[in-house]
Amino acid sequence: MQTVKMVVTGPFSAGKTSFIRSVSEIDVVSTERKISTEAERIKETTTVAMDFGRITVDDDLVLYLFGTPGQKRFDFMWEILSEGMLGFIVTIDSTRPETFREAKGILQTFRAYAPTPYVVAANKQDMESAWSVEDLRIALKLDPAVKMLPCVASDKESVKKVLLELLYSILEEMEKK
Amino acid sequence: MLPPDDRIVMRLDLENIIIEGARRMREWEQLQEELPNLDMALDFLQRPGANIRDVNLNVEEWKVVSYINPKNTIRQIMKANKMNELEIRRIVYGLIQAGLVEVVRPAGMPLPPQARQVPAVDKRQQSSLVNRLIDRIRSL
Ligand SMILES: Nc1nc2c(ncn2[C@@H]2O[C@H](COP(=O)(O)OP(=O)(O)O)[C@@H](O)[C@H]2O)c(=O)[nH]1
Ligand SMILES: [Mg+2]
Repeated sequence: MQTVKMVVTGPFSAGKTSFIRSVSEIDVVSTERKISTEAERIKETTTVAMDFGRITVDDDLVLYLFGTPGQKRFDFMWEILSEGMLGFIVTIDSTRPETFREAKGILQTFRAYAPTPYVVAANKQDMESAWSVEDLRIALKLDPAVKMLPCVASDKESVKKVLLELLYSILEEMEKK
Repeated sequence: MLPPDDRIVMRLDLENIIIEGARRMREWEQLQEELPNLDMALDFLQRPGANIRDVNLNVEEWKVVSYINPKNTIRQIMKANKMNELEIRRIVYGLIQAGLVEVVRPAGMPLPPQARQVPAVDKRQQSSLVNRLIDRIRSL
């Protein structure tokens, strides 16, 4: 029995929960939790917002989708997230340029933690004010090799396409080695 | 006249210890009763109650949740997370109370311990795994 994970990250309200909800076979469990670091002794707290979805592949394989905003202080979650992680998806709200910088920051943090394949989902492409994928690529200064896909997180087919592109990248990466 | 401060502190501490000890004994007994068999498995409730959205999970709970599957026994989840029986019982009991999971009969044979969360090692196995994922996502 194997468990593999994909992590869906991105700024607040980018569409992580919607994305996971579109394909999960269980009701997506969403949680926001203030967690004290260092066993309660340090009083500082961090809000951890997480989503959790599941896709059963077959008798021996289950895919878990974890949604996390990828805030800076999530070292303590990383152990959970990274174990068996195949790749990650960075979701972006294409209509809110004020969040692009944060999205790029999250992307870089994840890159630093996990040298796994990833794709960028340019979400909310159904909205009129959405930036095009081409413009987003320039705004985020993304390498041409990075896959950026138009996405509507509430649309299952659209989410499937993003997941498949990530899986194709994972497969390619494996073939290279 | 009031007794010196340290006397009060001493008495309260002792009382607290006794109360806390009794509380833990009761908790342990209650958890044993509620969750007698660690060789049962857990699954997510397919129709979770309305309260599910309010569930707050801490890191330890997330660790348990990430292993929930009808094929993994509670004991296996406990070992995978290096928890003791009281810890796992407490967390599982909380998840059940929250209407998040239910105890189910474990499906199929018990897992060999090394089968947990270990990504496939050799290349052929790895690409087979990814291809199975691709087929499954396509069929959604
Ligand atoms: N129009 C549109 N709205 C979306 C899309 N994805 C998410 N939303 C909406 O954006 C808001 C935030 O989405 P949510 O999934 O909660 O974002 P999260 O904070 O990243 O989990 C919600 O009101 C969603 O309904 C999309 O592709 N198109
Ligand atoms: Mg969310």
